[in-house]
Parts: sequence; structure tokens; C-alpha cells
Amino acid sequence: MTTVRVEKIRKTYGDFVALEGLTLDMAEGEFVSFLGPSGCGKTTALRIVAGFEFADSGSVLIDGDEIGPVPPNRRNMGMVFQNYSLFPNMTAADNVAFGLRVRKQPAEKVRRRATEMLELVGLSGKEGNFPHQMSGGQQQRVALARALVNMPKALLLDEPLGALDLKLRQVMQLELKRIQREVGITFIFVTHDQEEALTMSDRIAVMTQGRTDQIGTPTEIYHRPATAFVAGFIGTANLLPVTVRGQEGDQVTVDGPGGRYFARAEGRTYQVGSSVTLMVRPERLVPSGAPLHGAAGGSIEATVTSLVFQGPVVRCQVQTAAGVDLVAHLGPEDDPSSLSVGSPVRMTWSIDGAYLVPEALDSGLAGVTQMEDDETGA
Amino acid sequence: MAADDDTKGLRKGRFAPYGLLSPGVIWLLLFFLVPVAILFKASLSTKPSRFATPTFDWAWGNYSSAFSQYGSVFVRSFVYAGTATVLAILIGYPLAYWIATRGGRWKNLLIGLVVVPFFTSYLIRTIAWSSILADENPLVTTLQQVFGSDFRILATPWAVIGGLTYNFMSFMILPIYVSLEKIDFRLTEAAADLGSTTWGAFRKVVLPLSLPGVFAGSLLVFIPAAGDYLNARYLGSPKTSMIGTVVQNKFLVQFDYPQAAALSIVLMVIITAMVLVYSKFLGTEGLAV
Ligand SMILES: Nc1ncnc2c1ncn2[C@@H]1O[C@H](COP(=O)(O)OP(=O)(O)OP(=O)(O)O)[C@@H](O)[C@H]1O
Ligand SMILES: [Mg+2]
Repeated sequence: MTTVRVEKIRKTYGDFVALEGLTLDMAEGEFVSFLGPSGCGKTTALRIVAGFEFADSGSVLIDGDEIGPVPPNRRNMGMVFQNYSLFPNMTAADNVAFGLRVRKQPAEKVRRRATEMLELVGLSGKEGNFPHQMSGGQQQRVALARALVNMPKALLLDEPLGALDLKLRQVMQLELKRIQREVGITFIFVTHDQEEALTMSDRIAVMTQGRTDQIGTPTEIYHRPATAFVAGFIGTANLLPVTVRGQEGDQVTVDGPGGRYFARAEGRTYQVGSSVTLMVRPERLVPSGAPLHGAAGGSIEATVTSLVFQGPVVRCQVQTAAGVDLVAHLGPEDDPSSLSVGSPVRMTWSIDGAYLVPEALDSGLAGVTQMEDDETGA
Repeated sequence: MAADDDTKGLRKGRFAPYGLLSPGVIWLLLFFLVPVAILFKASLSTKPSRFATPTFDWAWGNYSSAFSQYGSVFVRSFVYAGTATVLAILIGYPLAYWIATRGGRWKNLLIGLVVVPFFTSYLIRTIAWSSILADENPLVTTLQQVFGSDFRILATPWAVIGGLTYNFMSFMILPIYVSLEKIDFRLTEAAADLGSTTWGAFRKVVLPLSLPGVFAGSLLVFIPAAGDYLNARYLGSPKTSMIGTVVQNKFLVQFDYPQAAALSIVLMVIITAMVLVYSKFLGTEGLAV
């Protein structure tokens, strides 16, 4: 059942279009992430659902009913702010109790609920602490408990883990999932960290420039990206501009730089001569001779430019004759020790290791998308 | 050797704070504690005639007369100063709030305007008000047509209280503005999200967080107002005299140093006690922002 639905939302600030035709359904108890680069309108979308901003056109529906210009205090949405926004003049317990007191609940119930909620987020014993007496992670938990105390229709989280260090972020990711399972409320989670979105979400809405490029499960988004942007934004992808040569049933033949390749049609029909994008994930790209899972999908001549040991995999970067950089993640079965920097190599992939993105690729974007370095290095 | 040098450096470093404090401490000793001691001694002296030299003889009578003769003046001073403080909060808070929340890029200019009256001497401003509020001024003559011919402003308690409020208003606005300016107003969004109305968010979040400013402002207005004599002198009448007027008169007109000193000490002690009670009451500790 759909709890929250946004329909064709358009929002402008002066001449600047922040959101354009945003449409999305969120089911009861679902964990949906808004994922996208900085400035793509994630916060704006969340604030429109919460009622802090109003859309220029389009509508927000809660439980199927369109809500007009209803202010936030009469919407029953829970919001967890990026900077937590805890009330500094109140203890953890009073922060959590705030929403109950506003609703004039009896004192006994307020105390019991606040204690319960703090227990749920693992903060028993910290009831009397003021925000400045708690760590970032603890403040985050208080913010969560505070937003959940009224059992909102949906919990809106705006990059709630952004301020935490990597270790704590991973702990809180698991905590958030556990809490969501326990309360069974729809979570709308804003992040620009693709790994976070992949691990936590039931569905991800990938946004760019005020619109959603793709909405789907993490698996769909990772394996069947709708656009080259999505392919590059989620994980690392090797992208090659290719031209369709023919289609026979489920198999599509394409021509690319350095050869003829094969891919699955995935139910789509391709026009001969149309430009599309071939995507191969780094874990599907192997040196020839290494075991291929399934029929061959293609191969390309290249030179090894770098080999970096990363623990479970060796990150192998190669450059094709056309000057396109590709990245492969090689496991032990791919025998990376046989490679050396500067030596020629033929990289291959299976037909199921490739995916056709039904969109032409800007030639400047050919090769590996560097999201991996940018994101995990930060 | 090196370790020796290090410990020496440390030892030296330990005394550095005291060294840095000493100018302040010496200043306080010379210009506050010594004068207070002299004042205290004078308050326990007797001065038989106008031009005689006071002699120290534990004359506690100065204190009993401070209460018996001037008790009502003390009460009046505190009532006037208290009323002026409350009025300054009622007028100053909304103004500071408006500048802090709606001032935008004009904030600094607006706050500058609050301080502009200080460019004119306090005395001149007060005398200017005495002519504005005078009985023959068009403002008052117009009001007389409404309220009857014996309506007047000058020489009434309200003129004195108004003068105090006006003259010390900036001391209320500035600290309140500073504490409001520090508040993250996104907290009101958090409150609204939890179901609170705008007024509720103000009352439970913004107001408590700005109380330190209100507290500081009240002290800055109340203390000088309670000891003030200019407003009572230029805007009031003998019936509205405040304790500052009496002290000034005793010191500079009647040369009754012992009585003036005793009144000053009593004023100081009462104000200190009031401040202590007030700060307990408003409990600034819990409001660490
Ligand atoms: N009040 C405003 N006035 C003008 N422009 C605004 C306003 N709020 C947001 N914008 C613009 O709208 C766009 C989307 O902003 P938004 O805050 O939704 O981005 P975001 O996706 O949350 O980015 P980030 O990941 O950096 O938080 C941005 O380009 C921003 O500059
Ligand atoms: Mg944002």
C-alpha cells in the first residue's frame, strides 16, 4: 500500500528549476533512498514532503489523499535533520518527549514512551544528558528517537549519517535498518553515498538535476542502469560507446572501439545503427585465459597501466589502443600475478557480464567512471 | 640537560597566567577594593558640622537612618528600576528578535542604529526629553485637550520610568540580540515537524535559549537604573526622587559624606543580593548554548 506519493513535482527558485516532474511512490514500511550528486534537489524533495516548502505544481499524496498547503505541524511526518537540530536546552528524554508533550499526552505516558524510544535506539541511561554532553552518534540516535516518537506516516532522513566517521556510519546503517524493521514505518533516506544507498534501501531513486533517472531495487540499479549517469554513479562502471549492428532474439550485436561485442536485449528492441552504451562492471572484466562465466561477450586489446592490491581484489587499470581507460577487479582465480604494468593484455567479458544502456554515450565519458575513487576516498 | 630546561620552561609557564592576570588584579585592588574600603570607613564616621573632617567612630547610626529615613526612597528606586527593566524587555525583545530573524543583510546597520543615541551625551538626551515632555510642549498640550488641563507627563513617576527605560534600552537590546543571533532557527522547523505551532516553538525552544541574553540585559539595565539620579532629577519632582538623587545631594550639596557613604553601601549590598537571587531564579547554568 502506498503511504507517500509525489506526483509531477516541479519546484523553482527564481529562474532556477530545482525539481522537474519528480514522481515517486513509497509503500508502507519501505526503505527508499534518494541518491544523487550535490545540488540535484534531494533536500528540496524531502522538504516538500515534510511541508517546509511547497511545490509550484504537482502534488503530494499521503495515504492516497492529496494534501494541499498543510503546514508541517499538521502532517505527521518525522524528520531527521542533517545537523540533528536537537533542542540544546533539553535533555535527551525531553527532546524525545517534545512531540508527545505538544500533543498533550498524559505525563505518565510521555515518560514511558520517551524511555521506550531511547531504549529502541540503544540510549538507555542517557535520558538526562544534554545534547552537548553526547557524541555525534548518540545525538543522531536521539534525533531518530525524537522523530519516531509520534509514529509518523513516514520518516524523512536528510543525510543523517553524513557527519559521522566511516566506522560509526556503518554501525548506524545497520542500526537504522534494525529500527526500521522494528517500527515498520516508511523511511525516505537522502544520501549522496551510493554504497550507503545500495546496502540499506529496498528501492533507490537516482536523481540528477531535479529529476529521477531511475527508480528501482539496488540490484536493478546496479545491474540494469537506465542511463549512463546511473551506471557511473552507482559503483564503478566501464562504459563504451557502441553502435547496434543487429538483433537476433535476445542477442544484440554491437560494434565498438576495438571490436564486435554481444549483449542481451533484456526484452528491448534495438534499431540497427542506433548509438547505445555498453557497460561492463569491473568484476566482470578479466584478462583472456581467466575463467569466463558463460558465453563470450567480447574482448579488447589494452596495456596494463596500474595494478593495485586492495585485499580481496587487485584493481587492474588498463588502457585500450583508443586511449580509453578501463578498470578490472581481479580475484585470485583471474591470476593477477601473471600481469605486469606496461605489458599488453586482452581483456574479455562474458555476454551476461555486459549490459546495454539504451542511451548514447558522450564520447568524453568513455571508459571507467571514477566514482569509486571520489567516493570512498572522501 | 634538555629535560632540565623543559621542566624549567614548564615551571615558568605555570606562573604565566598569574603574570597576565596581575594588571587586572592590581587595577581591581586600586580602583575598586580600596575605594570601597574608604567608602565603608566613611560610612561609619561622624561629621559634626558641614565643613568638619569626618572622624571614624563606628557610627552605625548612619545605617539605621539609611533605612529609617530613606527606606521609602530605596523602595521607590527599586520599583522604578524594576518597572523600567520590565518595559525594556517588553520593548527590546521584540525589536531584537525582529532584527535577528528578519534583519537579513541589514542586521548590522539596524544594530548600529540601536547604538546611535550613545553618540549624544546621556545628560543632553535626558534634558532634551525634559523639554519634549514639558507642560507647554505641543505634545503635552494636545494630550491635555483629551485628558483634561491638569494632565502632565514631566515630573510624574512615569516620566522618570520612561527616561530610565529609554536611556538604558540599548543595554537590553544588544545582549538579547547576541543570544538570539546564536540560535539556530532551524530548531523551529524541527519543532514544527514534531507538531508544534510557531508560538509553541518560540515558547519552548527560542525563548529558553535566549534567556541568557534577557538575564544579562536585565542586569545591565536594572543595576545602573537603580542607582541613577539624572532621570529623577531632570524628568521627576522631589516626590519622585530616587536613591541616587539623595546620594548625589548628600555628597555634593550637603557634604554629608558619612550618610552618603552608608546609603551607597546599602544600595550596593541590596543590589548584589537581588542579583544573586535573580540568577538563582533564572538558573543560567542549564542553558549552556
Ligand atoms: N532557498 C533556495 N533558494 C534558491 N535556490 C535554492 C534554495 N534551496 C535550494 N536551492 C537550489 O536548489 C538546488 C537543490 O538544492 P537541494 O538542497 O535540494 O540539493 P541537495 O540535492 O540536497 O544537495 P546536497 O547533497 O548538497 O545537500 C540547488 O542547486 C540549490 O542551489
Ligand atoms: Mg541536501
